[in-house]
Amino acid sequence: MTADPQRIEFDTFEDVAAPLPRAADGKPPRTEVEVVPGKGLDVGTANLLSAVQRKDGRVTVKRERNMFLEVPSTAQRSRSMLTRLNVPYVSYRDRLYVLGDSSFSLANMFGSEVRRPMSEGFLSPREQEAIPMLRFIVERPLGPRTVDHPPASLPLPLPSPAHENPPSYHRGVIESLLKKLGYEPHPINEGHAVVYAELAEQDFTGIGISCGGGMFNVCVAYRTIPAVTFSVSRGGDWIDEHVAKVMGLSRTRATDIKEAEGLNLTDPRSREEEAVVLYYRNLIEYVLRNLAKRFALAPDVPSFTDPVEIVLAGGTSLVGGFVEVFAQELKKVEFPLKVASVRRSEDALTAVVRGCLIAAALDQ
Amino acid sequence: MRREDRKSVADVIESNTRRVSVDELVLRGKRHVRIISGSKALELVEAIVDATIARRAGELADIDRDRVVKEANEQFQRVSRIQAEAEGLIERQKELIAQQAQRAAELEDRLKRASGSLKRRERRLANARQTILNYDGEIERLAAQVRTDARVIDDLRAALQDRAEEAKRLQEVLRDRAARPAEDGLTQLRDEFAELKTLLRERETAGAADMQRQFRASLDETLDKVSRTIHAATARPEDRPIEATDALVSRIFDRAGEMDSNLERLDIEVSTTRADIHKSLARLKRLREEPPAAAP
Repeated sequence: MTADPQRIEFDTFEDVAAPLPRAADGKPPRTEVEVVPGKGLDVGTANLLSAVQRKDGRVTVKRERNMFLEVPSTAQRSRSMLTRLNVPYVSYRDRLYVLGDSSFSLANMFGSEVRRPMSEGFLSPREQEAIPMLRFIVERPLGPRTVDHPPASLPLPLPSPAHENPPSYHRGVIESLLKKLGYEPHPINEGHAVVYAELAEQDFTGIGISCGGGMFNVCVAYRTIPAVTFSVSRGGDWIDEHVAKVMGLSRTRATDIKEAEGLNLTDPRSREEEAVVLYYRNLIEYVLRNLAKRFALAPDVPSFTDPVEIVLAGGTSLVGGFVEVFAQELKKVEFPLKVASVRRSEDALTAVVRGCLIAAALDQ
Repeated sequence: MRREDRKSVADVIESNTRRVSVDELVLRGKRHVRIISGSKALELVEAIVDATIARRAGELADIDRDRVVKEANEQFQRVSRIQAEAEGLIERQKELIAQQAQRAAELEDRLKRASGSLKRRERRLANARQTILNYDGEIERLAAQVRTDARVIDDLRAALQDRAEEAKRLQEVLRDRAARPAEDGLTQLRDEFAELKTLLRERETAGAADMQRQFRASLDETLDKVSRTIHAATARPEDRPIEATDALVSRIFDRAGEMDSNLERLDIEVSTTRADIHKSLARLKRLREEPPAAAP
């Protein structure tokens, strides 16, 4: 467990599975665990997560980074070596690609840039191989379909006012992909998924914010019903992009600095961390300004009698000091609702996928 | 003491003091007051005059003393009158200042109201500007969509026209063939078959595999172009282009032969999250069963 309680890393999870011994055919033996029907899937710009509920009540999560890296074709001869090193690859159109976390580690090691199937919450229009690669990256955490869990609730990113990429195309591709993999997708708004996962005590009344890599999704809900939902197309990637630009680094390196253990927004330790803090603060201020503006423009904002709680979730909220800086910036904005408190989800990275799993379980 | 002197002193006191009831004094918390009679006041004046005269002893006769007392008394009355007038003036000025302060408070209140109204108008103006900007973007997007739609319609119209012309040509050919004797048609078919065989042989020699790949690539490209055109022509934010994306994704899966991966042979890390979903799920199910609540 890490020292900073604000930062929840994957190593804080209990019961992390150890690498499994391999059978003679090279395939790992599969341990079948009884699970409740229904799966949750979070197709994020930076991470893909799937979740299932076991019969013993525990929720298991699989995660993969949503990225890939093309490796030189000479590495074609090294496929068996990649398999032995547990590095997932895909060979497509005479090219070899390494997927997920391994691509991030390789890119970081060699100072190159990873390729991303998605940007700003949607399928990247700049990436030619977005759909074929996403197919494999989705398949990896989601796994093969079994008759026990056909529904897979997936969060649906909402378009931000400035976004040019129509969400229907993104949604259509993801839904088609899941159908092709044998699932029945049921879209749900990301912010709404956060409300499902985190605001049970408040009868699902409050504000859920999913702070993702590509965008921030916001949902204001009253007793489970989403009253206002919207998004802004800035997220963790925006910070990486600007830090990389001003510090003369690769984006992968900037991501590594941003995700480094011990980084605290209230106490940067180096020039690079100072740049990260600067852009984090700028991002939070931008999101809150847009939030207030959206409230001012929306005709259907409910007026709550009691102050509401704001719950933050998503990978971008994991950094130390995020909640403090968020609360500081919130005080500077003329916010139209009375806020009782701001808190981060106990398990911020999995909040959206847990919300999706809840939605999938409700559909049963 | 002369009567007229006493009267004048009483007048001065009357004009320079105000009458206060005992009850009022009690209300103010006064428990004792000092009082001075008119005759005592006159005595004081006289005493002051006597004291002054005493300093100049022998300089004035008794007649002079009376005259000085009289003059002093007159002077006292004059000064008292001036004092009374001055106090009246101060009172009027105080009233005037109070009126001015009230007026200033009213003006300040109006200024505050006007400032609030100005802020509201500024906010409305900013909102209206934003709405206009949003509309501008939407109009541009719709205009681009209309242009694309028009292009697609033109393309489709041209394709339709081509098809119509082709159908017309085919009809003519069929009509010609029907008019010709059967043997002629058979000969022509044989010739065409021979031509095709020659063409196939030529293609085989040029590299059938290459051509097939090129053909497939070209077909893929055309299909991709068609699906993109269909998407561009039909997509709207509220649309669900599932059928088009189904076709697109199906093509990826159909290329399974071109893909190879080791994902089947690798395991992905599985973690158990500390947060559970039971509480949320149970509460949601309960809320579903409850009658709907009114919005706040």
